[in-house]
Amino acid sequence: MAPNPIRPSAVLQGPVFETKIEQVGDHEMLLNLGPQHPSTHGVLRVVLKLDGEVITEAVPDMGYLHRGVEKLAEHRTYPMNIVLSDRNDYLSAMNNNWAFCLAVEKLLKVEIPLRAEYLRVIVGELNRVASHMVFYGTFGIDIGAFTPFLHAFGRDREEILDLFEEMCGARITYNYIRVGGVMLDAPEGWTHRVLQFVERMKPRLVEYDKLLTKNPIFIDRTIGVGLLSAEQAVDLGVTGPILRASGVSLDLRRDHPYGAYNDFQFDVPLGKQGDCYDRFLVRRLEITESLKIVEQACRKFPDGPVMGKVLKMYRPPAGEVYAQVDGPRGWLGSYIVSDGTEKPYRHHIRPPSFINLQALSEIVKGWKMADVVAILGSLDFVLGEVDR
Amino acid sequence: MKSALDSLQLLRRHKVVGGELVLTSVDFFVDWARKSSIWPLTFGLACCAIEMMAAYASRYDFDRLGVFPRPTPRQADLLIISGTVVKKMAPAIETLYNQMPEPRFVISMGACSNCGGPYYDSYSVCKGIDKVIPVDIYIPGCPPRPEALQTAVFALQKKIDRYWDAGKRVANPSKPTNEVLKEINVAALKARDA
Amino acid sequence: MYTIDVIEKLIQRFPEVSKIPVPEKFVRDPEPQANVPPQKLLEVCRFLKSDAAFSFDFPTHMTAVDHLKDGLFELVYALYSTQHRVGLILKSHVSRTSPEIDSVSSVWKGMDWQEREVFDLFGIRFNGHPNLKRIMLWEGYPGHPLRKDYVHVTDKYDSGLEIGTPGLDEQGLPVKGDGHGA
Repeated sequence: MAPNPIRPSAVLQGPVFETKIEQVGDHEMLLNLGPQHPSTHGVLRVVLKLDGEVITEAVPDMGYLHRGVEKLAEHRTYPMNIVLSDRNDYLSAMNNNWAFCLAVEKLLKVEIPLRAEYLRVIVGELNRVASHMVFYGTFGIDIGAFTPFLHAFGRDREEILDLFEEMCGARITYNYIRVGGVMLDAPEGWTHRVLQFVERMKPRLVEYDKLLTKNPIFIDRTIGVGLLSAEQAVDLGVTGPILRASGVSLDLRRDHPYGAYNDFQFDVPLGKQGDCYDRFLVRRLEITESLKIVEQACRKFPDGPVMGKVLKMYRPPAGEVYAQVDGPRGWLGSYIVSDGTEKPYRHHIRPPSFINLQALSEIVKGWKMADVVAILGSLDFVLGEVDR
Repeated sequence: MKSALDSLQLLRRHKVVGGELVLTSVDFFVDWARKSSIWPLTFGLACCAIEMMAAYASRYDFDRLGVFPRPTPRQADLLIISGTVVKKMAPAIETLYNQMPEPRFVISMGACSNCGGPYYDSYSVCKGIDKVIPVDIYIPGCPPRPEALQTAVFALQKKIDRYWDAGKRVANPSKPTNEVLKEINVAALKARDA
Repeated sequence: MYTIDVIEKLIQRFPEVSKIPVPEKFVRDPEPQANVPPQKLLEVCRFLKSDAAFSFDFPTHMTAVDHLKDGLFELVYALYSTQHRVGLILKSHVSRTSPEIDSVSSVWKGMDWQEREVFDLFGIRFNGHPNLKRIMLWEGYPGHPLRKDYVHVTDKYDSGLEIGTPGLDEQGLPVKGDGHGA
């Protein structure tokens, strides 16, 4: 066993992190935001060049959570990869599982029973609600409001996690959606409890609006801040609520449907000018739409098996597939190259947060330090997905 | 009212005119104050950080244990490493640990910071935060439930109960307290099993 | 979302672009894919973005695959048109010994960081990229991890079981010793 150096060294011998910022004038300041900072939502370092309090340049530096998932994927079998995929976007693990399973199902050409498709939609949308609740709570904390966090994250999201725990045993990293269907059938009365939850949420959403959406301080701090135009957003490859907030109506669930989304009626909220308030409002309205979808799915819930005909240890034929889902952060995709063995040859994850984060250096120029926090919060990225 | 503390004779209560007098020893009192107000650094790395946030939130309230997050390491006494430690981040964690004033404690939460976790064969992951800083409590799980984190804080409180004692017995002051506590634990186990 | 007409129209305009045939017993799901020679890539991409009939203004993603046996890196570009709602997959091959290709970040800003990531993990250089630096790993990291022949240099944070450490067998266990490796 190699000796563990438990005594911390006095001289820091770490990697050198360079970021490209031009020369700093004598009235300017270079500030490191992170990697340890309460409001960077994970370990992200943003190097800011400030002129007084106004940002002139911002360069994000990531890699502080780079775990090498794409390399590990080549040394894990396909079911093991589903476990790894949970931990990429850990706030909406079901969608990660779903993207991977959709890709492998294209390789295996397996048919998924309708009950499994409905279960996937229900858990995917509930997970979207849970993820947007985390956004709601943490965005409130970034702006300075502590109460919405306790309502959304501490009370309502815990009820969703209770439902998930009843279903598959885990609160955050579910490993529930498997190739060919889902892992387990819903327990007795589960859909009834989900419907009760949706009913309980209706007055609570009104409460959310009273707390933040109509709060004058919140509105002052977020309207007009951090504008991202539609052309910029499309050129950057931004997807998800940020793209919809900038006015581009693109939603995979409606435009290129996957799973059972064709069976459900829902609207896609659209923003106008792409500021922080629009991004917040789009996500807040998406909670309502997702609850609508969950309600419809629970009412029409079909009977049947929950797993298609898949071997326990499957070796997909050689091939190359790409499948994407519309997760709470954007288009989450899985690109798999298979060489006929039980481990993928290459697994690339299309990371929505990573691509969305490219917008940061554009949006933040000209705003003040306090607005940087609001903008970072409104982009709602998850470092596990940015760095993989 | 007889309690365990009375029987250990750490706390003696006397009725006096006007109320009650409590006699105790300084080490018990200081350890009690330290363990009842552990202030961790707001430091979350990955998925375990979400469970840590859930432990702070309203259902698994941490504030009732006196645990309240501090944003700067200069005012924190606990560092909860929640999430995967990546080699790029490890020197930053070392700096944070060095910036914390003593007495300071470290809880390693989750499989990734215990030993690398599901990323045990990755090229960029530090296989356990104990390769960088000394750890007091390890919590297994991926991610551990918020109750597990609170149990770890209870275990840490039991450890802090012996902290002052450990400080007195340190013959060589440059020996880290963890090693001294380890010796005390080994001796206590031997005494219990003997 | 992916149609064959787009590729055929593209081949009419750029005869160097060719359809990639699907080999036998090979499953390929976004099926019609076009192969673009690396010298022509920037021109084709500029055309795809600016031409009104194509207007591929949205860069979906970009990645690379290491084909060790063929000695090639295969670059995959996925594009999307928000106007016509169609997608397109372009592929390009560069040799493993001198992997260099033009950068398309001047066409779509969204390819900027993805090219940096491919440079970081594979070592493919993108000519004309404004800031080609490592993004996930740090400057001075030895090697490019996602290559199939990556050799890992053990440092003080490792346990000895990393993928790519010399002396590990297929299962990832040390060839000699008791298998603990820590």
